[in-house]
Amino acid sequence: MDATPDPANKRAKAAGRRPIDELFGAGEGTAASKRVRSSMGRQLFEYVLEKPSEKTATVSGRILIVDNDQLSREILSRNLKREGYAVEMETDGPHALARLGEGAFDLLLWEVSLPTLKGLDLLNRIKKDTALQHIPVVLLSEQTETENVIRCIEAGAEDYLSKPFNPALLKARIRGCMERKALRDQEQRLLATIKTQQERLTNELNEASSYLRSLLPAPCTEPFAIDWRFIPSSELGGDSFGYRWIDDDHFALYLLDVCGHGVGAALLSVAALNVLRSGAMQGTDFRDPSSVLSMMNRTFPMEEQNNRYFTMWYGVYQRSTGKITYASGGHPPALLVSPGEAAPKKLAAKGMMIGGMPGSRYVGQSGEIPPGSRLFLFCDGAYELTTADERAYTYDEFAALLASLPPNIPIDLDQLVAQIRVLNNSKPLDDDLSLITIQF
Amino acid sequence: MELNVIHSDDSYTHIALAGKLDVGGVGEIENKFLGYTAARKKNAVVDISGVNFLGSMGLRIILDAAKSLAREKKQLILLNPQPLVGEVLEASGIGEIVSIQTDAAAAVALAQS
Repeated sequence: MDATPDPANKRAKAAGRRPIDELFGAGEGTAASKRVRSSMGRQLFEYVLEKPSEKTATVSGRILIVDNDQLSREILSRNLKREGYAVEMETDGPHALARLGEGAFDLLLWEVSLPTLKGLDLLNRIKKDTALQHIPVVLLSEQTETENVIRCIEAGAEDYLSKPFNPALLKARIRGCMERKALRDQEQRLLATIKTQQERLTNELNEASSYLRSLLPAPCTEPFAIDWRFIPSSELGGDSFGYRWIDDDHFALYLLDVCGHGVGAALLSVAALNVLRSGAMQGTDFRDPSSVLSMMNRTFPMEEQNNRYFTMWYGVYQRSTGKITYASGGHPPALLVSPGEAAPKKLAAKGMMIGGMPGSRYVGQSGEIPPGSRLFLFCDGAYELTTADERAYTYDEFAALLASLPPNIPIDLDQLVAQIRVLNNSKPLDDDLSLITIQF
Repeated sequence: MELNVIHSDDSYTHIALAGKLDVGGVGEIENKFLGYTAARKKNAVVDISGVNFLGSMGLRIILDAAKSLAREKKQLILLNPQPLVGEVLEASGIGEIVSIQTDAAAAVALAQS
């Protein structure tokens, strides 16, 4: 058969390359199918003389061919270049590894029985290397090397190509590998973007959280021992609290809990806290709890706060009289545990959640604080727990727990929080937890 | 979280809630709940005897519904809270705008009035 009008040869010539026939001699066989043999007589390449094929979608990618057989390398190289790939070649393992380390390859074609580094050894090596493990490896093998190939596929090889190479198969497999690689790369890029954004968000949340914490007062020992714990259920909590001297005689103590938690709750919490910290609001006497709650209710109507309300307890201790006055906007009562008293006293007051309804009334209450008393102020997250037997823990149980703490030993709040976690069946807390203790 | 409709006509609405009215529970029924209460603009009885937990977000939708109805001169009537839920309602001060009843016939009569 005369193969002179071979279009592949024609195109090779036109492209300034040596025609295939010139490289390997006019192969025997038909015009449609020719087999190329190496000098050792081994069949290397079975090629179908190309019809002037319809152009397929453009492909690109950088491929490293590693084979100690020159003919095999060149045939692969020519075919792959024709497909639009950038091709580089190496003849031995160590050089190939060095080349891999230098640049970004999209695909590695590796002779499975390469004497200097066999396919399996290569895979064992690069799959442990985070910089290289993502590069797909396609093995080049003789048809007799099936066992070897299977072991390599099990070790993470992407695919294999049997010699002699079938051009159609070669094209399809390489394209498939490249497409999978492109998808994986895209996935990696997306993951990297997500990671970057997540880190940015975490940093911003941490910054916001540290700002919120910076607004909380430091624990103190004089004139009373005050300590607290604040454990948000997510990065940012909706609880906040404070205490301060209004004048030489009046000490204010407050805690507020915005409904829900997270960023939205925290923003309202901070806004409300800053009003209380400033202690300045025209027409409001900060020594009068009901006046403070009414002012807060006027200032933060839920319709203007993204439909969020908050509960709040506000108390004022008067040093000269030893009395406390307090009011509550839908907040759980503070708890007073006094020496010699059989039962703890709930400092409860009627009043609607802050921002819930315009014009709500907050009725102030008052009571004595006997010397040596302990006052506990907390949010509902401290006791709204689900016990191991799926039962809802109650305020009264929590009150009993607080009352049972030994009176002569300072309260270990970390231990108390640990106890609360155990009561919640050691599951993550659903809500923010804030707890303040004052030892009078 | 479940929401069952017991009665709904031009005169009043009667629904029953069951489950945990926490953030997740609220998410499951919020639209439906507001649809049967605030949106219908009729007096509404909400049987909450099956609600075993009422969190702050649960209070919010009750408050939302009650306020919407109050603007239409209608009221929200909560029926038969379990003791712990009753305590939460009591502490929240929501009684200012919501009627809390323990007798179904009385609650329905109130809704029909």
